[in-house]
Amino acid sequence: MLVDKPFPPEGLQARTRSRAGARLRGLSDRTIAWLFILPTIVLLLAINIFPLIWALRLSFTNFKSNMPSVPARNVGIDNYTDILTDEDIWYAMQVTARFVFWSVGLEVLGFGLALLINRQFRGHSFWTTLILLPMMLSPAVVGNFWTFLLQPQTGLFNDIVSFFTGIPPNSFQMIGDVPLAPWTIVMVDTWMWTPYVMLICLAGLRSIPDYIYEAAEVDRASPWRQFWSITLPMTLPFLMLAILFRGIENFKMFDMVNLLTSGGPGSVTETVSITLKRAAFEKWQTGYSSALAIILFVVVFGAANIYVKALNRVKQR
Amino acid sequence: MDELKQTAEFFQGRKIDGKTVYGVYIFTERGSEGITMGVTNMLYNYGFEYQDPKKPYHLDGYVNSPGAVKGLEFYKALYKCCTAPGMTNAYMQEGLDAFKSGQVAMQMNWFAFFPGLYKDPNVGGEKIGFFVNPKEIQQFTQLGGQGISVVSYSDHKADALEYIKWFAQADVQKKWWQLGGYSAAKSVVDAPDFPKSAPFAPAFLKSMSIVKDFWAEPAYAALLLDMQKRVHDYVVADKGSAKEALDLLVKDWNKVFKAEGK
Repeated sequence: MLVDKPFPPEGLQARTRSRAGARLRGLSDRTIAWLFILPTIVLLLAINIFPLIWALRLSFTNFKSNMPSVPARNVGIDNYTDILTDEDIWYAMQVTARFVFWSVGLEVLGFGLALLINRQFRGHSFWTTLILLPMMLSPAVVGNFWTFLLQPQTGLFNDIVSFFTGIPPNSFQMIGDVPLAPWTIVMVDTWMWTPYVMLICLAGLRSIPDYIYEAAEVDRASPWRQFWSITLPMTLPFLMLAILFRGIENFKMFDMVNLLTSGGPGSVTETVSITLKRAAFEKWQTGYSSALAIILFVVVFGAANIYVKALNRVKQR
Repeated sequence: MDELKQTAEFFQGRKIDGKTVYGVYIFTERGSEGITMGVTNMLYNYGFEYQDPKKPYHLDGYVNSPGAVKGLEFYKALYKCCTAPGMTNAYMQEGLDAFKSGQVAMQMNWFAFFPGLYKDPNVGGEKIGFFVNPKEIQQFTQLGGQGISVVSYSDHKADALEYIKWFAQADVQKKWWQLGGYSAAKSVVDAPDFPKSAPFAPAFLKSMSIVKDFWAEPAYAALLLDMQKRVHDYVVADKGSAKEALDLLVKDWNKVFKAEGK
């Protein structure tokens, strides 16, 4: 007579669970932690580290990705020499450096906004949301609608400037005039990303314990003294972090510049990322553009390292 | 060319029906091919050549010839005197918008758009006329349009070639023209009734007989981008002189050809 028995038999199930548990119990915490982060590491290796190594390899060749059947020839450091002796590349670097300096410098205004938003006042939530709105838009959308706003004949911007200054609206072109176009990019970038700096600084301000201010009040420290001795030193690491992030982002800024001016008029707003894109995906000079990308990586990596060392010193104080 | 400029100057800044109008719309687009397509129309007619006809890839003295310098200076003069504000990075669509809104008296654009312009209720019909790129020392027009290529490693090469054979037939090309497409097939353009088939047909017929193309080289894109940079720097960004721009272009193109082994 057949008897209903579970399959596998209970005893076997229990022994299986016990073996799996023993295997897991046999693993150290460190090993289990590694197992959890392994997928992320594999992904990072695949989409970050491997392309970096491959780009480094390609930078020593004359490979063109639109002609994959033509074998790549080793050219040594010719690509690097060409780049470092090219006046146009140095010009693009200067354009980029000026853009980073001014846009990040102005975005420090976000610290002032954070100081204002840190207080409680009527309509606080509404104003906070309004200030954050530009940051929530995509750079492509921002580039497109600012292009319309800045049209000298149909855009609102020139009319507003004309209203306040009396300058005829058709007499200047924000994205078409050589002296104004770079400042236009700075203005749009500052408008969009100052809220980001504000948010990071706000986090820093909110992390300052109240008892420090209370102690300062007991000692009859003036508001300016409190700001200089408490607020600024304790928020400085956050501000410096925001500057680091924005500096790195602006160094590789592409989408907004491409949409607003395409690097023009002429080449006055051609940042190095636009030069890189043209070399890589329009001229298809894959080896050359890989070398340029490596140079940019070294510059950003080096600058970021120096900056982070300074940031750590500030944090320790 | 002088007559073109004088006509543009006549309209520039004039108030018509309470609206300020401008003389001309020309290509100034920086990102892809726009300003090159516009500038070459002038350069060709002032005597620009891509290379020495007897010595391929010898550019100096041809790309930056005195005639080429004059042509580039003329394009810049036309841009500065007679275009609407804000047209520093403008190509096909901006030209159509400017013309259809009545902002400019004349526009430079590709023939593909002319059927639509002719049908436009505001600017079409009896109000519109078409003319060929004006002659100076010689007369050419820049070649536009899309070519048909058969991919060499395709599994459907035979089908693609059959399609081309079908499309190239005289009656198919004629139908294509009737439907608003453009045909350069002799069977279509040499037909006796062709000049009367559309208001822009005579200008198209003349233009097709004088087309001159940009470089037909594998390094086409690099050559185009170099010219985009140099001419936009000069025409729109006021960088250097026309001679300097063309001298730098010769240097750029020589570098490209040297890398190609030519």
